[in-house]
Amino acid sequence: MRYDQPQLRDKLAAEYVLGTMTGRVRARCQRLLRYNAALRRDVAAWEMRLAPLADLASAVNPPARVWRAITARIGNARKKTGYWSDVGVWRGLAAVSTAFVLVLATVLFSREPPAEEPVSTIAVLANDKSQPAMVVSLPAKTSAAQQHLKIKMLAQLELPAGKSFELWMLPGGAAPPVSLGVIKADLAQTIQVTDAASRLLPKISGMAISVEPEGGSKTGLPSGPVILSGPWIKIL
Amino acid sequence: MAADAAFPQPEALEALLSRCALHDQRAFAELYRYTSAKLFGVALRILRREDWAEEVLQESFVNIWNHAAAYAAAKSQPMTWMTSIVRNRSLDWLRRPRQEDTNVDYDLLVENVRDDSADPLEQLAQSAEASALARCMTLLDSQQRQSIALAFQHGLSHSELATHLRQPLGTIKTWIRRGLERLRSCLDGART
Repeated sequence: MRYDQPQLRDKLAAEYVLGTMTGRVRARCQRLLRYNAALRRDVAAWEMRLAPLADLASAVNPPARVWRAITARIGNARKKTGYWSDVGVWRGLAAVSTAFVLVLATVLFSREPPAEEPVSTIAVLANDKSQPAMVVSLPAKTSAAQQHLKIKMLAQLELPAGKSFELWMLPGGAAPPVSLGVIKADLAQTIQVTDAASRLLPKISGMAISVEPEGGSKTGLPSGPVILSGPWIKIL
Repeated sequence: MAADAAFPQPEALEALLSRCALHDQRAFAELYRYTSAKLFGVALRILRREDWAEEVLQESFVNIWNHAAAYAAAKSQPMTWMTSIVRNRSLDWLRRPRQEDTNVDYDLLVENVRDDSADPLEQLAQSAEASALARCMTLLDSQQRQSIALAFQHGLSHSELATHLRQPLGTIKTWIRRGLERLRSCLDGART
């Protein structure tokens, strides 16, 4: 079967979501799903169509041992350091190595016209598939009084209607993320940094982008999905 | 940890999921408290064995924790996203090569499904999506409707449906295919 034909693809997606396939066909479908984004979209659409049927299942409290087993598996080590602290987690999510950041920084900035300022610190923010999607950098010669950050998107991010992207500093330790404000969906932009944020900038461990209600999070913390994150790395 | 009776709004679950993406374990515990009973129910219906359902629920929540950041890309309601994870894990479990041969607890299964799946439509009314689905389901032939409901809710494969409904495999496949096609055109027509 040729799954680049929309009708066949949709039929496959419907049967996959319904769950009637044998294990063998199911496994084959899952292999297709891994690299076929159109099929993933069709599957998501069918999951949405049939979702109300799942609601018919009556709620049954699982035994307490299930939760104990889950917490044991997600690693209790982090409890000691606090919830926002795990830079390793961010780094894991972004999976961007320092070496890669350096290479990318070289490529992005060294071939720019000479007028482009050298940068001192950089974050390459990656999506959940570890693909780099945005570069945030701090110019080296920025005056302490008027700091600004340069933001470059490596690909146009789709901004849902009525939403804003918000940029966060991740201080590490037990401290919660601190907002750098809402950013535009433009491919390249510069944002001003407040004095308080400037003082924090050299100490943070990473940055992240979340999708928030228009104008930014109402809670002061990320309230929508975190779509990008990456470590903040000093290179000069 | 007991389930919370009051089921939160999608926005609240979404906020919890984004905190999970930031590895906030308190948010994860809250998410579990709100959703685990419903999701355990979904797994139980498909797997019909508590020990399996417990195993799958555990796997699913570890998966939700590890992939909370991917929720953003899913563009679906949080409960739909989590239910799909649980259903997929349950079906994977049920369709393991070894499992398919043994056909366990089949009589039990037939007993369980007979009572509540013949007409699930009455229960489908809480949300706009649910009532659209209920309305579209009424357009299907009763065999189409029943095979789709049995497959989705109880995880029956084509061949299990054939045995259960005492019909040739080809007939079952046709019912399902036509039923899904009709559902799709009805639901998508309702949306525009």
